[in-house]
Amino acid sequence: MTGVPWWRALPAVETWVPCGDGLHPVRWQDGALTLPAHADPEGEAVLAALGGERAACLEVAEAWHRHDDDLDLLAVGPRGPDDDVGVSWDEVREFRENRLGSRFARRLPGSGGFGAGLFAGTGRPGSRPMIPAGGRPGGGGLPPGPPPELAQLRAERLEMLILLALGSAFQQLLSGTIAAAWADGGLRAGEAADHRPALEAALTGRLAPAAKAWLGVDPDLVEADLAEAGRAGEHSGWGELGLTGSRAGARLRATLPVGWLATVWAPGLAVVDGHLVVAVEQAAWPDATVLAVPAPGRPPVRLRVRAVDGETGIDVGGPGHSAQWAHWETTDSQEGGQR
Amino acid sequence: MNRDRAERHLRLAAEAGLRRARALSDDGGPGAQAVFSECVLRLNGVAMALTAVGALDVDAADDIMVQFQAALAVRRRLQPQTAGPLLRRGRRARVMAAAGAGATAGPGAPAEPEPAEPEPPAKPWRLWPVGRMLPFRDEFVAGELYVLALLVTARRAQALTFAPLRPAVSGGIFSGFPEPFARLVAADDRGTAYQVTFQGGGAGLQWEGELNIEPAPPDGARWLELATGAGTPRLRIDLTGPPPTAEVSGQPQDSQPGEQLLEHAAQQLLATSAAGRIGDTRRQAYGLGDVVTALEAAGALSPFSPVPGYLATICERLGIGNHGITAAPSARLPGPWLSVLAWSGRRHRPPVHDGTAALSAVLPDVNGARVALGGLHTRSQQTFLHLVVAPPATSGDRPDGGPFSYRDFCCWLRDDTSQWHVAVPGTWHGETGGELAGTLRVLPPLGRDSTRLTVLASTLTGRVRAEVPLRWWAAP
Repeated sequence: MTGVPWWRALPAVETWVPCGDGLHPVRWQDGALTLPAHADPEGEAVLAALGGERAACLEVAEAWHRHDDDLDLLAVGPRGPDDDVGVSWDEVREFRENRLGSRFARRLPGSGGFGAGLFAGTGRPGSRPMIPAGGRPGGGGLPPGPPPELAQLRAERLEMLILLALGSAFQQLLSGTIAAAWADGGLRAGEAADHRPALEAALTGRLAPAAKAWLGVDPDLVEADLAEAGRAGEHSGWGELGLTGSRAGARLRATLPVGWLATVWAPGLAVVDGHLVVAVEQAAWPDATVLAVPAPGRPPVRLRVRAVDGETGIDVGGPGHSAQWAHWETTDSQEGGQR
Repeated sequence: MNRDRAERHLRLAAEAGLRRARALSDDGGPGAQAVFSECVLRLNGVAMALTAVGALDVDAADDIMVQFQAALAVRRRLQPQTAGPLLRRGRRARVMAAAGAGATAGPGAPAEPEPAEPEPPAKPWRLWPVGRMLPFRDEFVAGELYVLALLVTARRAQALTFAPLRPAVSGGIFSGFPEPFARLVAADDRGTAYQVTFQGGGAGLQWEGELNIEPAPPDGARWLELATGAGTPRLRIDLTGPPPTAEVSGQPQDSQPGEQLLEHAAQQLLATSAAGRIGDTRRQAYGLGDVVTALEAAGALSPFSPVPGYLATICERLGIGNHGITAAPSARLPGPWLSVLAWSGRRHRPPVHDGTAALSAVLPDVNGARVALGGLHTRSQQTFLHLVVAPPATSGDRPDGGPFSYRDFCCWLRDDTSQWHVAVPGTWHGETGGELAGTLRVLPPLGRDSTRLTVLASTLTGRVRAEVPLRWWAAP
């Protein structure tokens, strides 16, 4: 990342969550999540730990901080503006109450999960479990209640649903927050090499739709490699892009730093006016100066861009809804190259 | 093989699957099944292949599948399975460690497992072909218990059996467990009584399984007698002669891991098509192209390997078009593949006669598992090879079915007319961590005119060959 904080191209965002008997705002601004309806969240957290009722807003904030570097959540979150990740607060409540009928609580019919495919024992032709002979069922009864590890996993799943129920703008922000944690200067940057496959998949999954919008490339023919820390673009300062032909069609290969997800993708800057944005030089929402590539193989140009007609912002969307992705337009360009 | 490349490939395949799912219809509509087959099953096939060749940990693959299903669910494309894959022990252990649970034992803590009974020292298996029949009858059911072979291991003896049943009264109806099996007793020449339990099962009027006889008869025992109760016929098994030795050999595997896995896939296709289950064949072929690509990406299969072309040939000959393999069909096929494929393509398949053959061969270790072949039976144009497997000691956190559950296990049989047969796992039963008994279904079926078999079994690590004579002794 450049020296610009990753969130400078993002506006303040607010949404409303069911808390107690009403709806409370949850706000994100300048990289931080706040709870305007709770003057002393730390004090409330202490009371809750002593047996008091935990406010739903606090649950949101705790979940946010627990998952602000969670690559599992990044794998579930949105890939682009048209990727509708929809979880409602009703569904969160159903999951919490473990209601039958919740779409997050039911088993997948016919699925053995991992292990039920072509190479699975249970999927083999003719394979069938024997009928236990003589009424000698194996295994004893289950202890009452879920085992602790299952309770822990359910709690993790509940937190994921709570965070996704905050709406698309917060999903974007959380994805950006997670990516920033693994980018240069982030708290987990030192471990990024050990999580390279997950980070590269996260990059590819978000670059692919952007590349389709940029060049019309088949998203299945887009692959992104992670630029190593400190070497993000030994050649160019931002990374590399290459387009090659293949039997299946044009194939785009990119090398980008994971920070691209935080600084470029999360604010919705990936493609602006036919350019693929590869870095943000300066930003103060709604204005930003970016480096953008007009075509693979060509050097990037500097563009001044501005967010227009995006519904992003405080008080937008109303209770239970958050804002949409911003739309950016060029206000000034410096064609001729800027590396 | 490259683990990072394998994981990356699976994750990128998940991204592609997510894009496909988003292009399909919303949750609940007719597209829900398409999401499952187009996305989940295809990715699952890739995950299974990568773990089977050891390119990716089961837990890592499991995590990716769970994430993928969650990603589909929050986009209203799928109802996620919330429990199954999450309960794998590897992940559970990690969660427990992360939560700091299990560090101290308390009322809510999981019970410590019972300390395992120490394993007796490994003792050579003794296997006798038996080839005898024990008739039985009570007021509900009558039948014959065919005892194919007796295997004596350190802890017990196991008699491999199958039993055709019929209602005791002509025109009657019988279903359920045949009670004479619960009354089985055994004794040796010294008057020592043994506990006998039937383990196995069946469908309708044909049962198969093993008689667990405990403890193991001592070395000096001269015979063992089985009966279904006092005053009923007895079946005596002679233990005085030395167990016959079979001609067996083993060697390390020289094929690439991916080739071995694809040979397993080919066996599945050939078996289902030979059995006339072309719908299953199509289902198995679906997504094979993804598997080939994944194996190449993980370095488990050379891009120059001819095996994907062989698979494409099989699919082409069977009229299957949705396999996704990009390799061109090959003009040549390995002999066993071609032989079984040719049999499947015959318009007229000569019937084979029912029969029961005793054979006995203890194979060299198959991937660390001990395997004993105990007999063969053919009935209603279906042939089954009976065997006992002692899986290798594993990490202990997953049931191991030995070759029955290895996704790389391949078994070919050649009869004395040079017809090849494929043998694929049929049914099996046993204890986790203990010995398993079961059958391999043999296709095409073998008839009583076969007098000798060549058995070729292989896994990722080794190949085993056995030459076994067949002694047909009954035609049930």
